[in-house]
Amino acid sequence: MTPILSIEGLSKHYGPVIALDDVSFSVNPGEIFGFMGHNGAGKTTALRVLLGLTPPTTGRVTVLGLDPAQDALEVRSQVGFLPASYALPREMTARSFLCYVGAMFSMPRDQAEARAEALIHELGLTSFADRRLGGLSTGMSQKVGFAQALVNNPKLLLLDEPTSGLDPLGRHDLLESLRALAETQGTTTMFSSHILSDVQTLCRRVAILHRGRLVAFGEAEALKAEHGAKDMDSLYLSLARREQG
Amino acid sequence: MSATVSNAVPNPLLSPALWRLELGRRLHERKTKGLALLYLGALLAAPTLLEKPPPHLLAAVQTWFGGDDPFGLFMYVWTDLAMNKLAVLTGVAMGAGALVEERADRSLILFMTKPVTPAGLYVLRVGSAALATAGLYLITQLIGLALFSAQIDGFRPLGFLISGLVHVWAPIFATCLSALCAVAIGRQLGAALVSVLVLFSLVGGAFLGVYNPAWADVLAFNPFTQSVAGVTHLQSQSFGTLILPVLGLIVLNLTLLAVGARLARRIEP
Amino acid sequence: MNPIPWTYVRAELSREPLAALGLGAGLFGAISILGTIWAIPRLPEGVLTVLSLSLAVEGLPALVLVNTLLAVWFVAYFVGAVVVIRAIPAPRAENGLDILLVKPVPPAVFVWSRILPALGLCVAVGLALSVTQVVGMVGLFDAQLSAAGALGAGLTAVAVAVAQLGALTALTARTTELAGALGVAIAVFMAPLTPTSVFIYRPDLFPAEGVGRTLLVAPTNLIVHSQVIAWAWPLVMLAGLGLAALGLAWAARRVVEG
Repeated sequence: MTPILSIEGLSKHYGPVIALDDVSFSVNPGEIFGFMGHNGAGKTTALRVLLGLTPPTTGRVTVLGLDPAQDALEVRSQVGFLPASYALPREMTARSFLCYVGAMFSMPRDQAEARAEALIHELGLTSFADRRLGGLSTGMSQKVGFAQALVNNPKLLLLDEPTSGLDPLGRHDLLESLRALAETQGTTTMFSSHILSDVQTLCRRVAILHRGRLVAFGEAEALKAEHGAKDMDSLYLSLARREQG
Repeated sequence: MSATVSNAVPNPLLSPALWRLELGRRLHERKTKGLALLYLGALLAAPTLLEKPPPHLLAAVQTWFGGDDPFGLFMYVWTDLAMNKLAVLTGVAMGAGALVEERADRSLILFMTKPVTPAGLYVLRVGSAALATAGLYLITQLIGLALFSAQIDGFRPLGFLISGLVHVWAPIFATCLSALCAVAIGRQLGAALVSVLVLFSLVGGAFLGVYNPAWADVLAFNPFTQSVAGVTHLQSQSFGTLILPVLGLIVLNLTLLAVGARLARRIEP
Repeated sequence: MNPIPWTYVRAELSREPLAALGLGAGLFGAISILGTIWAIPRLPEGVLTVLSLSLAVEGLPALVLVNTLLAVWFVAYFVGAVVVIRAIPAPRAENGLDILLVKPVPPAVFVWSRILPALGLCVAVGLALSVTQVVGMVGLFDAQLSAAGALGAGLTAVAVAVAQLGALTALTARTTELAGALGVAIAVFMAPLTPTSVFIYRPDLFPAEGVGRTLLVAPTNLIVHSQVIAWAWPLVMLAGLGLAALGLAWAARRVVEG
């Protein structure tokens, strides 16, 4: 199977700071892939490289068969991205914002409006679709954030800490939406998170970063068995302690 | 980091839907509504201010701009007191936040990760701000045309319109300059401060070449001096006297936009 | 009452790059002032007459000073306004104010610590520019306008700027957008100049003669009364600081409710 995303020997340095150090892994089409690590482990930097927002210092990255450093716009036209830290444009409504994002993908007006309407319906945004984004709760904002990542019907979704700050119901809804997307549309998702229970719920395969280095990559069950861990929490703790120790 | 435009990806800057939505966004902003109120205030205040001009000012304006009708004084006051000052306010309000305001409030990342380059996003933001600026200005001129025709003695609608079509490039210049300051300095407040200082200085010198013709050649480099060509040539408004200032201002604004777009590539979300 | 957290106050007072900001604005102001002093005497006689009549000042020194005072006032106010906006409206616009306001620092201490550098910068830049204008005008002063009067007028303009910064602090204590705060800053600066604009074009609306004619016409009023201002400016400065203190007290009440 040709991976939809592959990273080989990726390093990223910001001056003396090594954000990523010789990281290699790949993601297969249609899977929900867990990308784990503590805050500051390098997950967001890796996602920025995948989107062509910053070039790698060394290494080779391929997304949908393209090099993000060379073909950033083509990569972004086929990828959906939800950042970990962002704010929605507060003076817009969810509907106008989703239409706007559609237009950024060069959709004609009627197509952008139809796509916005479909997402509002599918993701349960109807009750606040015409309210100003500045006044929405965290959960509502995150739903709109997730919707904007889906406007272009992406083949690949990159989600950076998508469940942070969500209440249990919101988290459950988001995880279910991701599962449904993978099952019905075959959308590949790279799910970056430090909430290990979410990763365990969704992902069959995972990559674990620690201080910019890849410390584990493969089937979650196999990794747990290999390290004698009963769940993802203990797996992560055991790997982190091994690295520190 | 700059992103190369691939042939396979349509350029969203060519999308009429995007420009329509972007312009709608600008027009619905609170600052645009505030500016609209200021323009309305200028429309209402101008006739009162000109109801009984002092003789020394009337005589001076006739000396500077020629002719002996009160329309010269009206155009001088309208442009110098109202529209020049509003041009600065509009430019700073519309331009000084280009990209950096969104970076500060953390919404820029959502737009920067779409298939558009930072330079493209800059052109979209500043282009729409310039369009909204021009819209505000020209609507004010059209309302003024209707209002002043009935209120100002000797009002010349054509002269008023032609002057406006030249001067509209002043607030557009102020917008483009403020936006350039924004991406050059990287912070909205710093850009606003520099823009306010520079633009008010330029506005202060807009008519200096008329007051002292010996300085006219040097002061011709002031964009605000060019933008008031419709007033300074009120008695001889012609294609020849106005087209060069307009062309100069268009070239200047495009240059500022291009330089700003180049600097925008340094802005990271 | 909680004790004043002096460590916090010291940290706030040294937060802004005041020296760089003051130097930049001061240089710009000095160039503008010296340029004005050079340019105005070189204007044709007819223009000088019109300007003198429009601004109700007599003699070349007064005409030069009325223009340089505007530069002193403008630069001193706006350099302070930038620090005021960075102090409260900017962090609020960037969703960073709440995290500061929940700390055990009394709102009045918070507001004073953040705004005092703005007032200090305004006074420092204003003082430097007032001295610059007096030095630049040496040789122009006459019996009607002395160097002390010009210096007093400059510092009085600075005192007004200080009071305006207090008003700006109060008016923007709850502003959530930077552009809105900037708009208020410009409006606060322009407000006292509105009578001047009216006076230039409609002098018939003002009393024909006497003190009342130019009382509200700034900065002409500073020149007309420069002999008094030459010694009374410290009192005006105190009044300006008092008004600023009122503005800050009001801001302290509003900042936490926002």
